[in-house]
Amino acid sequence: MVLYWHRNRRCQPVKSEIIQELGQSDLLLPARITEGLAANDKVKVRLSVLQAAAGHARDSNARRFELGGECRAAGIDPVTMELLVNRASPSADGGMHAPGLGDLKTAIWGDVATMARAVKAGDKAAGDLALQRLSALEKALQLGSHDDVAPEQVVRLTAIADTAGDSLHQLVMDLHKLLNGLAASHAEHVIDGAHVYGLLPQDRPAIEAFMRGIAATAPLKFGHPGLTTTAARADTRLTIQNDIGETDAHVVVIAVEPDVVTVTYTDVHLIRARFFAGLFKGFAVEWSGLERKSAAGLAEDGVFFLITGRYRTANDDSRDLFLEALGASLVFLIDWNKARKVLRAWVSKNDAIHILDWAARHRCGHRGFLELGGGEFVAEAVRHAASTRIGFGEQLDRVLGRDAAIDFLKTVLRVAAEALLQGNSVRQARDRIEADLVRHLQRVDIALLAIVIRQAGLAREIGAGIAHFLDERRLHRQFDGEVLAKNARLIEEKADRIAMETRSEIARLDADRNIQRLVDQIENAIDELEQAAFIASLAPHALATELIGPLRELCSAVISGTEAAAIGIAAAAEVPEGHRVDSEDALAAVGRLIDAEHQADAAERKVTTNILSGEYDLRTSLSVVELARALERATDRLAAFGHALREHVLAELAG
Amino acid sequence: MQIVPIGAGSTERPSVEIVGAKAANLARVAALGLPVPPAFVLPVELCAAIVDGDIKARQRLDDGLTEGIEFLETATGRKFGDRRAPLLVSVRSGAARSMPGMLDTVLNVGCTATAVRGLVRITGRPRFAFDCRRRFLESYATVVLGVAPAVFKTLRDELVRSEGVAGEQALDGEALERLGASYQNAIDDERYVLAETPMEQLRAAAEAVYRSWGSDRALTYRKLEHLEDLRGTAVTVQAMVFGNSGLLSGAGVAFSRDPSTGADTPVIEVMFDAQGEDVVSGRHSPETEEAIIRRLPDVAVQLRDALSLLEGEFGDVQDVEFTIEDGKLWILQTRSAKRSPLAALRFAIGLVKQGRITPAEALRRLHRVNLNRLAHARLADIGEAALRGVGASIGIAVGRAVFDSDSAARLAANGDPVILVRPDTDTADVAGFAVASGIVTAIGGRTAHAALVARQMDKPCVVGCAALAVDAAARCARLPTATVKEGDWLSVDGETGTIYLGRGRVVFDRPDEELAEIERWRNNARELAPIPAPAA
Repeated sequence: MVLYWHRNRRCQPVKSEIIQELGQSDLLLPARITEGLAANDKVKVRLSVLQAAAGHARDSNARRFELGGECRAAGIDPVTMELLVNRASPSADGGMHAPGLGDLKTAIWGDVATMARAVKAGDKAAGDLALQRLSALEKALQLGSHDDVAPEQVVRLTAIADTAGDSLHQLVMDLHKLLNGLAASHAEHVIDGAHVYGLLPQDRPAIEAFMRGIAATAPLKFGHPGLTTTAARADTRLTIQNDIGETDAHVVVIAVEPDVVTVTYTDVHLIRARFFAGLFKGFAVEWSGLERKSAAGLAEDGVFFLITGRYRTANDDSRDLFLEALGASLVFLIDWNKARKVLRAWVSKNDAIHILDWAARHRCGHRGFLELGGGEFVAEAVRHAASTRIGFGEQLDRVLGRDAAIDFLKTVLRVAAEALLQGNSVRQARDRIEADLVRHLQRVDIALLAIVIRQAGLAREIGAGIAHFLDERRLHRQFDGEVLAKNARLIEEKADRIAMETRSEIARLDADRNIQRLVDQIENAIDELEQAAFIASLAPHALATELIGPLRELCSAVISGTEAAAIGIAAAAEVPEGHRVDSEDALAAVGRLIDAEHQADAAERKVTTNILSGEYDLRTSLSVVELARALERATDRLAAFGHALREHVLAELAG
Repeated sequence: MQIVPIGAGSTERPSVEIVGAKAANLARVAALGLPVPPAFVLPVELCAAIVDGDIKARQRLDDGLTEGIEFLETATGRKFGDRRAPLLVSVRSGAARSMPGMLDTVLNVGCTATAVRGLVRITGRPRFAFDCRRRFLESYATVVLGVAPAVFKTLRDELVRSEGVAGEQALDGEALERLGASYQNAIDDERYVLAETPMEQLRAAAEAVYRSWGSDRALTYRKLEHLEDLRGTAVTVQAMVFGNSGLLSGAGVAFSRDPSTGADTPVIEVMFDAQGEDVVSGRHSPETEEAIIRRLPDVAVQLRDALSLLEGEFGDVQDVEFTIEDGKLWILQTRSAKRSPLAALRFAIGLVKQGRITPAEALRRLHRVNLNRLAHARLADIGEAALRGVGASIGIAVGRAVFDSDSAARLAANGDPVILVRPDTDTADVAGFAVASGIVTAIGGRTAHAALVARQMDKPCVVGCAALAVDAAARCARLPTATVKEGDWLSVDGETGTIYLGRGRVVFDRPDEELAEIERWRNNARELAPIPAPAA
């Protein structure tokens, strides 16, 4: 569900109107009672002003205005009232005239109406009766909004009712009594910081659970106001409300019933609403209102989004765990959009959200980060630690790789929160994130090694394709050689493209040049394999078994070599972590690459021997020998790759 | 919590009521000494409490998963989601009675970005590692997070087009790596949060499988099959074996006898370099036993031996899921095969002849089979076939063509028989199956879940009609020589896998010889003891 809410209704009323809209007006009763009691104070002052004005009209030498203190206490401007009294003069019909008297009359009616509505909020029947009496009095008195009043009208307003009928003052007194009664029965208590009204004893554990959650993460708001909690009970339902960050239209109302907890959440940012719901993936909450389509066509401005979640509770324990999680989640909504925009400057939109989600789940949040300067905090670290590698305005994920950029920003958020919680200096925090940034820059090489793995995989696919081709030929089954050659060509072109891009990345990132050698060698192997696939596609359909046999051995050597290349790189990428098994595995893979070359040499000789000692036609002889040579050359390239890999590993170990 | 281990030397024979039929059978298979990847089972009794969100049940689930993963790590020598030697697992359902395809399964769980590196590290095959990752993302996102499957299909189709290859199986490793990244972005775009650690993934997957008990299709199926008394599903977590790790690997389904005709020859379907989901999803057309004999003759022999052994152990025709990983055969599941009534009759006679069951047991099994409906129907006066596919459930159906479940229901409500014509077989169409007289699909094999369901419902079904192009939106289907519009009459022969235009005449032949055999058993039995009368 999406509700429109126009922003021009700003300030305080917005939130209470939303709560009313959500059908949770019981939460507002205490505020209404307070308003009613304040109106009671005001109306008494205004009636006194009216009497003073009548006195002044009768006798301009009467006592001077003495209601200044009362006016101030009730929140009424004393100067305006004093002027009104001093300017009151008798009118021709025996009544009085005073500039501002019309406003005063209107204000009096308004005060009483406020009191009556406040009573109605807690006791509908009594409130309705009072509003009826008020309406009858308005009709009977006919005060109008002009600046005159008849003498008997003053009496009817201020006197206590006699047998003749009702009076306004009588109504005010009755309402005051009713309000006092309501105030007594809805006295405010505080449970663990929550302002609560009219609770039953059994409501306490639920409130305590929610407040336990609030308390667990509230320190992470770092000086931001907000997270005020109120709670009240009406009939079968306990209602808890939290103000979150005290901004408009951002509120959560939680209804606790015997078997179900219902969360109603409003926000001007749908994306934050989804983030909020996402924090409860661990609970089987049924959410509604989260779908993008329900918000389609609505401008973000001028609307707020309402989502509801229902969580069926098996018992009190599961209810309390959920409430605690709810309480603990709210601090992560404060300034969420602000933090998202800051992070957005460094990583993609989705990754920014992912980082905030991570920060919430790991209970560090983003407020500390913003408190330490947000974007500037990161920018300064980048300037200090890596100004040559990371240009101004450059996205971190472009330089560090996506995973590393995310990882770094997570560290930034965690360190910021820790520094503030532990009272460390900003300087110390900045040193820590600079160190982390340097560590990530060193690991940029790993992202480049991932490209080499990709290339080794492509080389293997061509080799496996040729092997499959030979297997099918051996069984005299149809196999489309053209498809084999075409696929190999496509892969080779792709590998070529990747290699070129990688070269420019290596130059741009100023990375380890030895990686360049690895990329080049594997690309050379792919070139040879593409050539092999091309020749295979031209070979005669019927090939003798004694030729297919050693060709197949050559393919096995190629496949084994490409696999060793991928394994070796995967292991080499872990070497900086300092576990011996990784360097051992990487060097073992180098051994396998050299072995593959030896196997291929032997198999190629077998092919040559068989061709030269047999009776084969030129097409067969040429294609088989060329195919064998191309495959053998591929293993040569892979062996050269092995040497480059060994150097890389040894350099890592030495570094 | 007490988990039930399977394989790795465990000889436990847990009861069907505790671990579900699938896991109970698997434990028996392992005890026979057949190769079964190690697994552990979380019991049926947790299902209701997990569905209710009971905190204590979730704690027990957590404990069970932790304990079970330790067992699998020890059994396989690998570590869950590890960067060097990763263990991945499948998370499967299993109620006390089989509900094929109706409950959820999550595959390749534990395949984090880190584990992808680990898969490269142990195999040297990046394409395989990226393939596992994209499979995991799709499986997890659709089942656990509720992302619409169409999201992934669109991305996959787009990539197949832009790469200029024939289908997803022809995508190279680099393309699959990008496909995985685009899946990840799609999940992020939907603002779903992918669990970061293997254990989080596993916990969410196990809960999702438990929760699938309450899905609409599961409820519908239980109602149609009168299984409303079942208490819930168990969850089996099994070490993954990989049919997608190259051309000497594959996944398939094998029946120890033909579940459609009852003939005493195994029916085996396999896809090389694929995982089991590819075979049963109905999205691809698999190869036959011939392909295994050609590539891996030893495995073909082992599989035949295993089918025979399993049929002997369970005393019934078996429906077996298997995977071949680098030339090694693994049995993943076995169950009694769903069968057509005619096959049921022939199975019974065959098993009695081989001495595997007694005539009394055979009669008991046939008790619920309507022998009066066993007359073998065939079409007459219909001309040439307009379309050919694979017969997946025998029988003759003559009805009016419809292209989705809703239209099927609407037309059927008018009293006309309908033939549901679909591009592929998806178990989501089960409501349409129920009202259709026959089912025809463009792709899919005889072992697709939907084919199983069609057989169980005794509806004629033809799958894998390669020349059929269904345009459900335009309510028509193109055949090589004609276009069929909604409401046109079609005649379907589920035995020969042929489809004819128009309304054919149905002629019945009865399997008199087999029925006479049954009658002889009955007479013999009556002389010994009273037995229940057959269903009318």
